[in-house]
Amino acid sequence: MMRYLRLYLHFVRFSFSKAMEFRIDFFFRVVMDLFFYVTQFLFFNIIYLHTPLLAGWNLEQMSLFIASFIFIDALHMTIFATNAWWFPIAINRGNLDYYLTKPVSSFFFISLKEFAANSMINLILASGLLTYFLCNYSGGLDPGRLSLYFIFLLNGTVLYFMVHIIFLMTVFWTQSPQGFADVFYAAEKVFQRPDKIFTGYVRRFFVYVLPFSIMASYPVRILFEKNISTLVLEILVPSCFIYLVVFFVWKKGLRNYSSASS
Amino acid sequence: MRNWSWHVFLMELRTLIAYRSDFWVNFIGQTFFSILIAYFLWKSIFTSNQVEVMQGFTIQGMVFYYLMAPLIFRIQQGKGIGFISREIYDGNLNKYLLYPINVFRYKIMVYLAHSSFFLVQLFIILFLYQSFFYNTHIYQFSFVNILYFISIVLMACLTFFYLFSSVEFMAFWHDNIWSLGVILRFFTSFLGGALIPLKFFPEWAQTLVSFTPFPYLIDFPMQALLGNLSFYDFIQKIGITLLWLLAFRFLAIFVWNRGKFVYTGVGI
Repeated sequence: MMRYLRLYLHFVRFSFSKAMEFRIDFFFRVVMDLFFYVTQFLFFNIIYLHTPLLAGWNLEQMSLFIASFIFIDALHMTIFATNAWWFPIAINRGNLDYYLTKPVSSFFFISLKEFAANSMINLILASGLLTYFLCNYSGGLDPGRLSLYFIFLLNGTVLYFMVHIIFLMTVFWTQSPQGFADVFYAAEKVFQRPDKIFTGYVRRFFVYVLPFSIMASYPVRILFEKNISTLVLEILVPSCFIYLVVFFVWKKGLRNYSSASS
Repeated sequence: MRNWSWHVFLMELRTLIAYRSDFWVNFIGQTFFSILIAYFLWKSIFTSNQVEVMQGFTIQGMVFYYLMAPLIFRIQQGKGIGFISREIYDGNLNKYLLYPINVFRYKIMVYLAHSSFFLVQLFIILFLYQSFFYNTHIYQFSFVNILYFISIVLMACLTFFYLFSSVEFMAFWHDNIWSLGVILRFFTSFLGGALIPLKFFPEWAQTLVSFTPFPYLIDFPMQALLGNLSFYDFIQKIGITLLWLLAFRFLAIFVWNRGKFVYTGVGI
């Protein structure tokens, strides 16, 4: 475990020196994410000009939800996003050989090697936003629930990456992951919407099969709702299911991997 | 149009359809999820307000809007971020400078090949909609509207191409400018009306947005498709789009002429 931690600290150090090579890009990436955050707030604020409630939430509660998924996005962008970007390329070009020959888990390597130093600035901003909305929430928040909320936000970040990886792992069989990657980007918008807007089978699909709804929306509901035991269970079961699927598909994929130009 | 331009267009199309499974997965998946999310979001808003029409949109009209808007957005995007900047960064731009071809014309043909690809997707969806969910209150097929739509889309594509190129040429000075492209994408999507119809913006914001080029890239083609444009509107707005097109063309050529002299051609 300590060996992995030391290795990860090296990844972080290298990433910072790499980011400093492209200072203008470093600056624009910070601005880019800021635009994303502003767009999200504007989108929901425009909607609230035409309705007092959305999925049972008022603007104050919705702002907390927006800050929550922005926090997940920032954390994901910092830790995982660049790795997800390189993942299919590494498989297509045969670069996975490099990871397979190392005396550490190849999945650890491919998931965490690239740390986005520039996104860390945005993570600080996103954390600030989240803190602001939590501190100014008029309903009052229970510390126990707040701890659960943070644990499940972290789970939501890892889960988001895992679902993304499932879509990308199709490259082991299809050679080009582009089609599936685009579908992921179309589907992932679900995580930026409150789960209660969905009903029936569609709702169940986004909780149990492609669990985008449990990434940000469920943790926020933990803060507001009385009975949370069902919510906690509905987060834990699909999360474990997805982690198992990733483990299983990764093993299968590696068996199908044929090195360069795979 | 010279012969080689047409060949570039066809070759790019051939490359695009080489991965057929990608085409279908992307086409079906993106359409399905876009509609699903839009339907449930707006259904929730309509139900919560207990109304059937909001800003002139029924829930079915809203679904049609979200069916078409992302596709129009993708038509504008052409080959997407990095279509010039990556070649500047890699040093691959050398080949265009050595061959006796016009770089702009080459890049426009590649760009239009990608746009046509998504235009075909849009027409397939329009055909399916016309065949199975025909609703005259939302969409009525008309040759005039399609003609308006195609001419507006072509004009909007060229406008966005030059705007996008000006941003991509920044790579002459700053190597990696991927994030600038994404910022432009956010602007186009939000201020163009792909994220939420512009009619939902407050009045003052609608007026402000109308002074930018963005509504002419998505909202204007959308209005043509919905048959909301009179001949006068069409002429007036296409005139404004033409002005934006000329302005961005001038800007792109200006930046290119400055940038090519600082280009080393070495790459990373």
